[in-house]
Amino acid sequence: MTQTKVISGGVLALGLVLGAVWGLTLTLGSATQAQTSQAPMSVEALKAQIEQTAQEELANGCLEKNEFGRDVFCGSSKEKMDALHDQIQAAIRAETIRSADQVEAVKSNIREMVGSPSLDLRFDAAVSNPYTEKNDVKVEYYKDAAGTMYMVNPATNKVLAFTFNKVFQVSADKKLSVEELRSKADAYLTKHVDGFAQVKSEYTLEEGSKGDVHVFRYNAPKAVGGEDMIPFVQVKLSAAGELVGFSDIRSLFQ
Amino acid sequence: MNTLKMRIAGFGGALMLLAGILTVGATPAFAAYYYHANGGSYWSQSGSGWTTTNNDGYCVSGRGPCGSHLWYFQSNMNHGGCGFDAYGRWDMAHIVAFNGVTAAWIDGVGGGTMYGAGYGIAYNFASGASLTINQNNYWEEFAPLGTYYRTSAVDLHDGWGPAYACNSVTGLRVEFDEVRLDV
Repeated sequence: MTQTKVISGGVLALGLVLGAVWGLTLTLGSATQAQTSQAPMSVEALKAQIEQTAQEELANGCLEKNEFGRDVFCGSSKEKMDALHDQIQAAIRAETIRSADQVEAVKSNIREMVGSPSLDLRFDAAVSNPYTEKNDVKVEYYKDAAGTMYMVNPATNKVLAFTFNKVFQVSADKKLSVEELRSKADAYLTKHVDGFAQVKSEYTLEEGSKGDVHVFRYNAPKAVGGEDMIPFVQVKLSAAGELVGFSDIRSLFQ
Repeated sequence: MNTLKMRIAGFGGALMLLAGILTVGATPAFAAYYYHANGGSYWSQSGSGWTTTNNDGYCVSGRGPCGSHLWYFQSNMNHGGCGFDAYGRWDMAHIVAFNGVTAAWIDGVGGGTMYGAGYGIAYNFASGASLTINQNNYWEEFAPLGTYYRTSAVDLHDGWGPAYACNSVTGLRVEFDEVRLDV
């Protein structure tokens, strides 16, 4: 059922041009800085370095097919490009991370949400949020050692969403009834969601499950702010009542 | 704050772009997002056994940038053992020199149950990451896949991801739906 369509290239090009002009401006500025200091390479200098190294490695380096049939770097080419990727990720994080106080506030909120006071976390990225199309609300991602990504609203430092990647398989003797799970979900949301009583009274509860993962989701009566996505609050629990994931994306639409 | 928005839709709205240049204080920040629909302009698939679930997934009537011909998600029952039978790929129409978070929409009822879904991310010109994502733990939401510089493609097959390589378990549903890149 593959379909092929053509994107409106002229309009698309406009986006490219705007990004390129802005990038070029920064690149020129960064190049000047790099000549006058021994500071770590700037993001723009690293972009240029990556571009140059990539072209060299693509032309003369080690490439192999991955499982999807794509050409990927291997050997020393991979080592070089992986190192540069690590560097630019670190440089971008350094440019976009907020103050230490704010970072600690976020980490504290995440740890409280998951009930793990010593959870090791690091700031990962600041990007557009995945749920709105018209409202420019940037979000932040924090990551723990297991790779779980926590989406945070920097305006509030509150957690917007997270889901653990582990498998929850529950033996029959440990399974709770739906009533018990509903009660646990209610207690969790009451504790962690601002104004949950109002959510309960105005939103529609949707319950469902996939295997041993149960979801308790409250959908807003309608979309708001000209967006398509209907705001929701949800908690996911294993059949034994363990926390699987959480979302409260209401603040993206305000 | 100066914000410039552009919205680009291909024929039928298979891909949508919003790009903004946000200026906060002295530090400019680039913000943009890109949808890539299964069945859309930059999607390709291989293999057999595909199931189509109509008017479900992220793009449905009243939600998402897609035309009505894209209001569906696809799935394939997982391949047991090593390798895979089918795959889908979302090539990024617009490769940007920024860090981006890719996320895949996973449905609720009838959605992905594959706890070891094998995703691939192409980034940084020709770097590749292999990921294992538990689709079973998501419900009507975007599952973040990872943060990479200059993301150029997302791949997903119906076999087991690296965390469960060559697992013999079968009978799980692998979901292929919209992928969004946020930078």
